[in-house]
Amino acid sequence: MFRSVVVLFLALGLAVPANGRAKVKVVASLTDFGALAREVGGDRVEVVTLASPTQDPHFVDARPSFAVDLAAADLLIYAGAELEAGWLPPLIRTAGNGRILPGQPGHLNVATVVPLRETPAGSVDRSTGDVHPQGNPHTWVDPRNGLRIAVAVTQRLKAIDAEGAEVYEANLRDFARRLGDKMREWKDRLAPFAGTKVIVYHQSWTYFLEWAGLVEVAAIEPLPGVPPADSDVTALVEAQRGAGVKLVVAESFYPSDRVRFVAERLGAKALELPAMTGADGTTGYIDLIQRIVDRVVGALE
Amino acid sequence: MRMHSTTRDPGRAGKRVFHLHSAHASWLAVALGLGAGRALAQPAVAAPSAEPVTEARTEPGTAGTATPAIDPALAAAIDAVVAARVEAEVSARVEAAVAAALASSGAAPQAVGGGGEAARDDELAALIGEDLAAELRADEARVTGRVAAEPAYLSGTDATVGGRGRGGEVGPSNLMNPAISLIGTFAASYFTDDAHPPRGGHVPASTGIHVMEAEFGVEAAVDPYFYLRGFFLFGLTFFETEEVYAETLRLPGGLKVRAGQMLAPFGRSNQTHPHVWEFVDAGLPHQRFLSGEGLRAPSLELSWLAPVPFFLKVSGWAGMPGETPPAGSTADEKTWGKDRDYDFLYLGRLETHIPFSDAWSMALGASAATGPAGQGAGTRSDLFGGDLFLRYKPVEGASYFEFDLTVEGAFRQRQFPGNRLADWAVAVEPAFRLAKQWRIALRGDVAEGDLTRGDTMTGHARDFGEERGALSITYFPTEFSLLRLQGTLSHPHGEAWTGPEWGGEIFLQASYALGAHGAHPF
Repeated sequence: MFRSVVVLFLALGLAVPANGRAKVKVVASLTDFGALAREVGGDRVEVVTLASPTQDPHFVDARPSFAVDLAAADLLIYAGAELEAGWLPPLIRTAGNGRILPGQPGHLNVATVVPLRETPAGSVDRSTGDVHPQGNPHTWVDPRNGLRIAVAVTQRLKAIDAEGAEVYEANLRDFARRLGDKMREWKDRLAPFAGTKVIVYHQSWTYFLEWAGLVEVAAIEPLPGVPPADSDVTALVEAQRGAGVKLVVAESFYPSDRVRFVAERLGAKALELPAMTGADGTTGYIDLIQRIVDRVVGALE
Repeated sequence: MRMHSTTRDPGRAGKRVFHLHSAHASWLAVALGLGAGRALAQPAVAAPSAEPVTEARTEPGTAGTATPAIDPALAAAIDAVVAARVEAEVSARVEAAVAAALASSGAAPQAVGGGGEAARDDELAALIGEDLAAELRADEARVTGRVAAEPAYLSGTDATVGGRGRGGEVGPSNLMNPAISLIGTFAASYFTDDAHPPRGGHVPASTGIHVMEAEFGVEAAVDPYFYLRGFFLFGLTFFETEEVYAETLRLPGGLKVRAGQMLAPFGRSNQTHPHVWEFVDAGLPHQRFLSGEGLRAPSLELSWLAPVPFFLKVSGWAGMPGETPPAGSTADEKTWGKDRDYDFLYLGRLETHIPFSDAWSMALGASAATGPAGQGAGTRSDLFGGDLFLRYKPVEGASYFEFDLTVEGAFRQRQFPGNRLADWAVAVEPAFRLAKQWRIALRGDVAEGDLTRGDTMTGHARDFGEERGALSITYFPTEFSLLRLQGTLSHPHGEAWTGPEWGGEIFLQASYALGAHGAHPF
């Protein structure tokens, strides 16, 4: 009896990785949350990201293979505010993993930990497009939100893996220091362009522009999520003619011909920006914001 | 629309407190008095009087119980207190930054929550440094127009959705409402001949304009353990409970139980609602074997997500047989029926998903079901099916192009007293999303074999077969509405068929979804 118990314990011991503990499994809907989790978690975490950084995050396939990742996850991080409403909920239900359900430390809905902008007042319906009733979910491109998310991830990781608390906090402090230095540098570089008018394709740059001190004057989409017809684009150009718009920005998954058309007609610059870590060869969260700032400043100089 | 100028540097908000403008003084008095000040109270001291200026310099944290009076002397006193505290204390600095942000944004200062904020601010400052902590808190105050009790991201669990801290309702809150949706599906149809094989479900059966169905859906988590979904169909003359089932949310070991009225996990199309189909009607395997209405029954399902590194799901389902054959067909055509009260229909399904790349992936499934044939004398009926769904969806570039290939096939064996009937059907459906708003789908489907019992004396069954081809073009104004044009050419034949050899069908369909409707699986 005793011997079999010993054998059992040995077998269990072998099942644990060589470093003596299993890694905390983090599943992030978007690569940015994954990148932030890597910053904080270091080698104590294993990160899986679901949507590709070059893909429209509203329209991701609910691949059943994602449910396998979710079933094993200790922490799920997602944008919330209905950004992933079209694909994530059935996966979470299929996974049936109690650790990542609402109310658990392993359930991190980013929309609940950052101040959302453009929250509609009163009741909403979709006559105004595919609006998100809780507010604009494209929060992560504001570095302050990146920091907030990193803090939230730290708190969650501490709750999930108390042993690593000091490591997570040290990693966060290091990340905050690096990001903070960069934020000052970026703001200095952006300062000369404060108040510059910008047109976006989709309202996914609101948070970045707000932080950068640029002004979003219009979107090419006539309503959120509705692709523009020729007449919409023409009307937009007419409305903004002479307004002094300097930039027209869009992610790579939006039609560049529309973006270029509007930019040319308004004498502005068309700019394709990566919105998620990994797009455009970016290697981490700070690198992503760096790239966005570089592009914006480069276009405005 | 914005509450403040976008050119303001939030990083400087905190520092501005060091040289307070007199205009800000009264704002600060209000802000601190109404709540932000409460946060300052670590050692709570009595309301500030004439001496707090000197008092505060030696003993930070005395603005605690300041009343929101706009007495200039008091405001000046509080200013001094704040300035002193800013020099002395991290949390005060954060508070001041918050107050300044609130004041300059013109938002009415409003505090949420009770004490403990200062301690949380200290914790935040320790984690990310004072400057960044102050910057974040000031920005939050500006965006939300209030001083949150604690930054939501410091909490161990999610805050109220949106961090807006709504609530305060004593009774039921409409924030607790489940996701509610209504999907109306209408069609106009034209048939070249009134005599055509029955299509089942709520597919138009004759030339005219039809309300196919209005699907009313409600779903939400019941409690931490169960999720309840209900889908109810209304037509002009019918009401049906399409599905109402509870499913477990957190059974261990990859297990999940569903109980209630549900669509059986046979094949792919049977587990989906008609408003997500590529066509107005279902393919022949579905129409012929699963009644077109879908195989659904009061039932119990146990499924298991196998602990392997790829997706492998095994499901077992048991239900009461009772589905109706397509309207216009005979009782002979049904797959299952109930001879006795305790007759059950048993079904098993195995499904997997293979992600070849970010763009290509494939789902495969196999299903088998057995139950009473409903023809008396203990007769049984078995149905075996296989399904494949291949999807190509590139994740790079500005394109919503998609290619889907769906193949479903089934083979049926039924016992009749003194007779055994076999038939099969296959549907192949390639579909393309050409642009975000446009989809085009083709379908070829075939069914062959014995359909009805025929001559009971000789045991000679009557066969019925059909070949069909269909094309549908769908325009999606948004994800929530669709307009569809479908043309179908059919060639029914066999002993059990007396109508014309060729038939044409044209449908114009419109479907509208409002409210919060749950996402559909892959």
